[in-house]
Amino acid sequence: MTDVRNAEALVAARTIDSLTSALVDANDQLVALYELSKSTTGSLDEADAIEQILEHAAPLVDASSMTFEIDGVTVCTLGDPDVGKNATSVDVTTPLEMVATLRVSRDEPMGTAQSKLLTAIANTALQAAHTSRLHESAVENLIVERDHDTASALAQLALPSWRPELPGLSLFARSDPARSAGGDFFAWSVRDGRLLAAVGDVSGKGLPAALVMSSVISSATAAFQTVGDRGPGAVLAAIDASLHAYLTDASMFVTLAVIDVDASTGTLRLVSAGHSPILWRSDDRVEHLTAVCPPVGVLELSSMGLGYLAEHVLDGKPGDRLVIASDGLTEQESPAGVQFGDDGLIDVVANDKRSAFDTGTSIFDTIDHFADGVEQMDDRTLFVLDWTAP
Amino acid sequence: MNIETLTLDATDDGPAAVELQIEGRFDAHEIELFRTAVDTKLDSGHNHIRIELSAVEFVDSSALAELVRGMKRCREDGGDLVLASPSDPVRVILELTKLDAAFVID
Repeated sequence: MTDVRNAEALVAARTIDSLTSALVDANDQLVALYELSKSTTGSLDEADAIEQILEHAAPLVDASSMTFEIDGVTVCTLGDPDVGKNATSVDVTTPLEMVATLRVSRDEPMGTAQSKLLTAIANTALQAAHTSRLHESAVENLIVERDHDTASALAQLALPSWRPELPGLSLFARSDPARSAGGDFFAWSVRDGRLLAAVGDVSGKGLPAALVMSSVISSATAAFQTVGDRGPGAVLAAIDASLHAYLTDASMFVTLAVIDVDASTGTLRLVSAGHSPILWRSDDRVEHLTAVCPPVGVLELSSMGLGYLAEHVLDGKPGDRLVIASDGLTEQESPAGVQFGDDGLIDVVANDKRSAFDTGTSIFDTIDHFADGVEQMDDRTLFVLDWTAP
Repeated sequence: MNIETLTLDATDDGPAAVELQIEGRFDAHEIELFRTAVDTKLDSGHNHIRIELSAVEFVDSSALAELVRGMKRCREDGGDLVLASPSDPVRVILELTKLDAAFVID
């Protein structure tokens, strides 16, 4: 019986030793994890942050050296990897599919508990790398966003900031891009008592369209000066000749209306390359002024054999009104998915007898009310020219 | 928008033409899909492409620009991009913009 009791006591003592050892190991792990948690770095530089973590972690696993790699590229090495007798490594990943490997060499073989600690160290280092890369990406996005905003503002500056004043004419012009910049535009020039103007819409939206828009304004302004005395058809042909190849390379086109108004006689000459809607109100009648050719950049006008671009020629008198809008106005949708449409614009043009400014402002307000919170889907531009008593 | 591809019968004087059938809205959100479809056909030797438009509900200027781009590329390669059976909304836009003078419309 005594032998049996001695054997049982021996087993119990060994169990107690084993449990004690396990408790000590567990406590050591807790202390190590606590120490590891203190290694959280304040640096946002990836290599710095990982180096700080490894320096803090190396004593916890008695490492002679530690090497940390991300996606196969060494980010940080502490100590000489050839010194330790026993080498081990652990792989960890993040949800963003970064794969990291932590290689450790030490004098003693790695125990199970220390292997888990090694995984915790690798995860901590990888998390620091992840945070660093997110920060770097956010900074890059901010720089791109700032550059985009600056470029957009510069492109919109191409629109004229002055309004022509001629006796017997009253002008309202406004362009609201759907984003920070857009492809809708107007440009004008006054020469010898005549108003030369171009109103148009570059296909597409945003900064790409705005960059092309600024080139079109430059081309139109040059054409006003060089061939403006030959009428709107010549201006359109000159713009087409200067921009066709560029627009082809850019995979874009420009719908464009060019007008020439003689303020002394009231005569309007107009030519449209694919631009719509263009409305003419006279004696309470509203009519569409149709395009004579496709938008600029589709087919070279010189290759179409048109020879002479047919112009609309109208004798304007007080009370008459020309309205040139962009499709972003008429294609604006309501919450029910219905477009404002040309009919909605015609209705306003036909019935609103107030000044060009009041009517123009009212049309924008009407579209906003119609949209009722629906996102502005395209650039909106409106050009209203009234013939008034001189 | 949906795009479906049909291969049409080969003719004596050229490779088989292909037809892309487009349905729904055809606007700025869809042009990458359309451009990839057209370029894939062109890169595989098809320079005669029919774009079937009878089921298109809406087309914007970005989409029209893509049609023009495809037309130019086809013509550079000796072929053409033909617009087939445009729906009323598409036909109206083509007429207002005079693009009907630039495309072959079947």
